[in-house]
Amino acid sequence: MKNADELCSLIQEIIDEASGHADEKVDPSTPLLISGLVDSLTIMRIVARVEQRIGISFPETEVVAANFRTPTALWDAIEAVKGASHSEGAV
Amino acid sequence: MTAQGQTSVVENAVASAAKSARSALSRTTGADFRTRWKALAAEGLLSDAPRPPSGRAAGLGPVTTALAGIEGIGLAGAPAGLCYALASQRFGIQCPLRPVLSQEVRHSLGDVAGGDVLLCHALTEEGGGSDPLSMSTSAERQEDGSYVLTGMKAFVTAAPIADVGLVFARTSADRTPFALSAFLVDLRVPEVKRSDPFRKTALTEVPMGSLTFGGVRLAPDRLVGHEGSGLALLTVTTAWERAMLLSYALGPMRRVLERTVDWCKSREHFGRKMGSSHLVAARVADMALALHRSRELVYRMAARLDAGERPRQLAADAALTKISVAEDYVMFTQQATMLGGVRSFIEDSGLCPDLISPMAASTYAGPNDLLRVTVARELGLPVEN
Ligand SMILES: Cc1cc2nc3c(=O)[nH]c(=O)nc-3n(C[C@H](O)[C@H](O)[C@H](O)COP(=O)(O)OP(=O)(O)OC[C@H]3O[C@@H](n4cnc5c(N)ncnc54)[C@H](O)[C@@H]3O)c2cc1C
Repeated sequence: MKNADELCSLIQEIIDEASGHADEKVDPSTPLLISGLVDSLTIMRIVARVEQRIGISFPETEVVAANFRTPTALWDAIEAVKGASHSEGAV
Repeated sequence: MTAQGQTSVVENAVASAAKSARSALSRTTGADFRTRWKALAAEGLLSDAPRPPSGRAAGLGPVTTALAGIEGIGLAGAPAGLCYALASQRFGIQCPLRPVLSQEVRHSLGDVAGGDVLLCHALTEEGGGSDPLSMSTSAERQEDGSYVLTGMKAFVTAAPIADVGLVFARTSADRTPFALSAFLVDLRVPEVKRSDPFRKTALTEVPMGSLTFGGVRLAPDRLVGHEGSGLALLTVTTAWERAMLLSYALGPMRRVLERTVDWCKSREHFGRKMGSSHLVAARVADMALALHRSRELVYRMAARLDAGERPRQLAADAALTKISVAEDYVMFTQQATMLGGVRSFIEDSGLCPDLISPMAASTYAGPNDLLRVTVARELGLPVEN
């Protein structure tokens, strides 16, 4: 996964799996929390899937509202986690 | 290491834990819960960085080592409630917190590894167990960054005696995934009131009770992770619990199987040994099957955690493990009860199984039916809680 658009497709995929159909298109600025698009299980699924695809460990402590407001916010958080794990050396 | 080598290394670790546990238990016969807890902890079970096993148990990872320790303690005849409490603190609290807490904060808790400080996990409330987002206990942030905790937790294992609680509370009024946060709360302060121990019928050796927080002030460093990350942390604590908590049952199951086999070999009726009936033999085989499945599943979870798999990634398999072991444990105990005849209902017969505690495993760490929903959802069914 290389950018926020690809992240949007992943989120879309997970929401579609959960609800069986797509009502809304997820774009980088879709408000994920306010629209009620994602519930807690879906959030944890997004985190798990992102970890698998990118091969990072997303710390539990970063799973907070500020990082899930929009796909862009989540992408920024992913980049920050990637940066931190590079500078620390692989953990 | 070959699979066979690994098996005997595990067996050795279990045997050596059982040996030390037997001596710790006999030294503390009749003593209270905490004395026995501390005696068992002295063997290193609760140490976050266990001594790398040497000698015949060398090569096992820390989770497998702890698992073998729990199995050994049960095999030595420790009361089920004590095994459960040890497994619950080790796997359900210490393991998930380890990567999240700074060394300073871990230090501030006191001597958890040595068994001086007892932890508990306070999530459930009167109003809701399986639905954490419905909780009403709240932690309000103050201007200086500290929090004030108010509310009540119920049905908490070890609450009447624990020193520090991992307490989940809402830090936001909304019912959103980010409304919850976790705190480390010193339970020895006057603002925390404990109930008397509940008269519970399962796992009777460990007390359970409620905790009432009457405006407990918490320094900012008592917040675990960031504000709002409570549900993510809960996902991890529950994944650990579902994967590993039922390890507590393995030792007791082995003991019950052994004594049932002995009974079937010695009891005679219809002019022959009871164990020469095919139906009796088949029930014993079913018990062995349940124990085998449970043991393989839990050790597999431990191996995956030792290999560095993230608890979140194995949450679905952890749920399957929990359902399977919990239900096998009930079936196993029913078979033993049937084969013991009337003696299954006579307390000091040596054949009286505890029918209630295995059933309790269907409720804690996520009721089995709720876990079934999670499993089905993971398979793609559009089912929701
Ligand atoms: C031995 C023991 C030790 C415990 N220790 C602790 C502890 O240390 N800390 C702590 O916080 N809590 C502890 N608990 C409490 C435990 O976590 C809760 O009992 C559990 O979360 C279930 O909550 P509840 O009992 O309120 O059940 P409820 O939420 O009332 O559910 C009751 C039953 O309804 C059914 N049900 C409910 N909702 C659904 C659904 N959506 N789909 C299908 N079926 C459903 C299930 O069969 C469920 O078992 C312990 C419980 C036991 C038995």
